[in-house]
Amino acid sequence: MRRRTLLLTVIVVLLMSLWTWAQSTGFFQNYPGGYSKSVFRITQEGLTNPIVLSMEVRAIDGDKLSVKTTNELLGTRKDLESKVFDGIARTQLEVSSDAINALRNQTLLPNTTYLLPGGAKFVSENKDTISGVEVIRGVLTDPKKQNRRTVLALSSDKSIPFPPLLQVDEQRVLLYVTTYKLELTEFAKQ
Amino acid sequence: MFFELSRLALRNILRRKLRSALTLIGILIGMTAIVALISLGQGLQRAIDRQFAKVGYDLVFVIPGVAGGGQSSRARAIDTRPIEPLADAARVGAMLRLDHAQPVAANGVQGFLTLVGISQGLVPIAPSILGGFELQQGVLFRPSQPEVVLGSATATDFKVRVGDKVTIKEKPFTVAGVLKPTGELQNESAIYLDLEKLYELTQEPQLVSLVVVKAKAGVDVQHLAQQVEKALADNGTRDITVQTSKQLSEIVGSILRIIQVTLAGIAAIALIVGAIGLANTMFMAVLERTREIGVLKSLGAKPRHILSLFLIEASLLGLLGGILGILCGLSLSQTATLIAAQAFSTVHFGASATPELILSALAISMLLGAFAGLLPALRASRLNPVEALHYE
Repeated sequence: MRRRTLLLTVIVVLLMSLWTWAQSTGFFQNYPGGYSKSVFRITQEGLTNPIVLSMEVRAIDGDKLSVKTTNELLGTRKDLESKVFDGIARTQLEVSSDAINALRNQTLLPNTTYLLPGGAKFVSENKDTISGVEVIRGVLTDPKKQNRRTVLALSSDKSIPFPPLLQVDEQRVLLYVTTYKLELTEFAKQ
Repeated sequence: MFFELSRLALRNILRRKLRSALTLIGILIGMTAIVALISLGQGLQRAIDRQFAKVGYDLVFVIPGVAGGGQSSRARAIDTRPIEPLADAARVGAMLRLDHAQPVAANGVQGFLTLVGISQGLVPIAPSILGGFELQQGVLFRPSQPEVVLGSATATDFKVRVGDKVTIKEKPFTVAGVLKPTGELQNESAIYLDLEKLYELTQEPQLVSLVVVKAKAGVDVQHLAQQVEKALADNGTRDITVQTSKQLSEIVGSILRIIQVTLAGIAAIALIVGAIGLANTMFMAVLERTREIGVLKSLGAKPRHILSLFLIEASLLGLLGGILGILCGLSLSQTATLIAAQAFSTVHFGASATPELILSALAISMLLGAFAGLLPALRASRLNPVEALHYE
């Protein structure tokens, strides 16, 4: 019973997080129409198993959208009580940053430096493909967080709710260590 | 007699240094927390008062969204034309801070930056209500001209100076001025332009993040706020919050006071625990010095002398803990201010320790010591001298 309640709470928080983010970034406002399914995997330092999030969006006549979100997670009671919530809160925090929002829905060129709000900089690299989606990879740095870099892959496809790749690396002594990763693992649209 | 008793009390404190020190620490921790929290709170309150005094108490703000109503506070369309004819309004201005960054380019450098549109009505009062809106070079943008004022970081990163060109959404703009650096990166990396020009770029006229109405001299600002609310409601504008600068100042002040009282209350628990420790130490002292009390009484000391001796001893312990607590509290609040300044790059407040705070803290710690020592002192004063002399 306790485990079921805990899982239910985690699921509710996950869904709320996803919805809040999708609303705050205008994802639903800009949704181009048709059907799409995106599946993301979240891994985080200290989290034994990944969190798998999926969002299915189907445009129904006119202004309406049908949205189905699911998630999968497997963890010990301790994991579920602490690390999973950290992972969710962090997802919300990372994807909602001003710098990442500024890059969303923009036309980006490869190998270019872009100045962003708050003094952040995004240095784009070459084009790539993640789960069949064409992306531009790059590294985002923020002067307020000097010991970290964010490896991003951005797509111009407005039917994908999160950046196809968002990897946070933190400098520990001399080496960068990945502390958080959100990655698109499956994408389909009709 | 008082000095004799004080000297005796001090000697007793010094006789058991470790126990006295441990007792002092209890009072010290509580007083440190109280002084640090109150001095930080006072500093913050002063900074807020200064900021509002700079803004002025003759302003009415119209903010999109309803406080506590679950409505979005994002920019929305507010037609300011019905406010402009109000007899009590000296000036009406509006600003729009775009939610989504726009493409900007200059000298081969590209970026996606925040645009802030400021109406001509707001320009004269913008420096007081927009943090860091002070020119370092050049002039402000002219009405409906393709001119911009750049935040200092934007100017540096794009390597542009006054008179140079930047393109925003592929449209050329001339750099009319550059703002002073403030340390606030959000503002330093923004681009400011005339609100009408921003509407041209976004194709979304009347969208605003804030409307500001300045009252004429001597006018009742609260009455003006009601007029503004009514004029907008009559025009069909709903889901807005109308507040005067005085109301905003009071709201912020009351929230701060609640936080201060709550935190000071929590810190007071530590002080009470310290006082209980002091009372315990004094009870122990009475027990240990029962024979000594008997000797003093048999030599002619009256109960009030014994009472005074233990009360002075407890008060001294409280006072010493208080003095050390004040010193630690002030150091802690100064350190917290320095850390905050480094962490947030712009902290416009410093901890403030008024003489009233220091004197009150000293008085409280001494009285608390005396209060904690009252019961043990009474017990000591009531001891029978014969029984006390036979106490093993």
